[in-house]
Amino acid sequence: MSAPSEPATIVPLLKAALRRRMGSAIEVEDVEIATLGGSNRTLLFDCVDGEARRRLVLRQETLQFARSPFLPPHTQYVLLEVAYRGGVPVPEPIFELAPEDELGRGYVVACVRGETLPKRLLSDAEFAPARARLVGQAGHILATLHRIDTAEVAILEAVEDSVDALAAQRAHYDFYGEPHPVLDYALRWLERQRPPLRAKVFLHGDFRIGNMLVDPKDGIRALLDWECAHLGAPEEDLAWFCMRAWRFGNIARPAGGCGSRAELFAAYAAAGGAVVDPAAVRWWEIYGLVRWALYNIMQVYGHVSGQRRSPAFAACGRNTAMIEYDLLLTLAGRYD
Amino acid sequence: MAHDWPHLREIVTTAREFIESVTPGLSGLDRYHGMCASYLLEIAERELAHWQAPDDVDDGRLRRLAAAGPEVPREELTRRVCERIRAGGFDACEDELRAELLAHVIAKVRVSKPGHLEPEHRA
Repeated sequence: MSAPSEPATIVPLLKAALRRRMGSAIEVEDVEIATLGGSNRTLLFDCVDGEARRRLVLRQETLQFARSPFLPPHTQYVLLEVAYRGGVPVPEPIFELAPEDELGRGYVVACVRGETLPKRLLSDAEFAPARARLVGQAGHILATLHRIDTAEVAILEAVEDSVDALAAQRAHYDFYGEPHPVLDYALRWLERQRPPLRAKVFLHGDFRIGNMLVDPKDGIRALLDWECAHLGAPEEDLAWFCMRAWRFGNIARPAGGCGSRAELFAAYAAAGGAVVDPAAVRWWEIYGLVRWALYNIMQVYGHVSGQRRSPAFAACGRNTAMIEYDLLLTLAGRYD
Repeated sequence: MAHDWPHLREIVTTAREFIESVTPGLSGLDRYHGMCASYLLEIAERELAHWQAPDDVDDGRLRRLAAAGPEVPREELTRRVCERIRAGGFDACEDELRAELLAHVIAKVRVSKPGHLEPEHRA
């Protein structure tokens, strides 16, 4: 079932969904649509029960499309429960939508206050205390996540990226059908330079500035957007956090635009993370650039194939060349 | 040269579709100008349907990398280069391939976002 699109339609259904689970006195107030992304909607609201009031978040899938690299909402919800139990800072899972809710696929979680906008996090004076702690916290969070027993997230074993991440990217590329010589070159380089296999861990898959709720003083409060989670080498999450695109202009500070790789690796090790292989991190950064280019091609594929048209997705197609440029200069050793 | 998706005609169509989607919500002169912009972009779409971009330096580069003769149409060149790379045809001369590909990508970025390029790569 597709999700209803208008707040006027959503709110009565949401109220009914809450009443089915929490009692007939529940009211919904102060509704705010936080984001309307390409395939998800995030709606904030107050769940009111007499004198008690709690801010919650409804996350709904708004679109399913062919060969999506994103996990379905049910899997995301299971992962949130596991991460929450495992001590990873995530919004508390409240409940998953059911067919009788008539709200499509999605879930409700607790609202966590914080900033996600990278430019504000990396530039505003207000966030200076958070920036000073951010890399250390990132290392600690990743070590906590990677320590979780993978048996608890067996739901991820069949995910393409868990089986063979590089083969998954090659399959996406072939499916979209737009030839890119630079990506063929990079994929071949990656295939010929694969790092040694190591035990797979529970990966967030999109661990970066922009997917974290950050408090100006306390730093990272919650890790969001679990739709790319999978099993793999720990270096993959560490490398993705250091990607040039996620430094948002602070090029000289690879770790999230506010620290060094050495600081990140040290914080990861201090929190019980495995010993990091810097050569493997570099391989995963090259891989990350290919993956990021393919995400942009995925968006423009959705546009030109007519599945989900928007000027923003069209623009993604022409952004691919910039990522290819960064990729070539990184492979040449000019970019770090 | 062969740019990435969306192709030029698709870019114009995308802009026209967006303008058409917001124009009904406009009023007065803005609404009239929205309608005019749609009309102009429709003309551009029709003109582009009959327009063939000229061959250029990048096509020559791709033709060399593809080891393709003049009988191979330009629309096929990029795919042929990819096939040669994938088959290992450049494994022994990776530095040379990377230099050619950098020139190819610089040509694309000069159109999409020239400010992204290092100073020595700008036109």
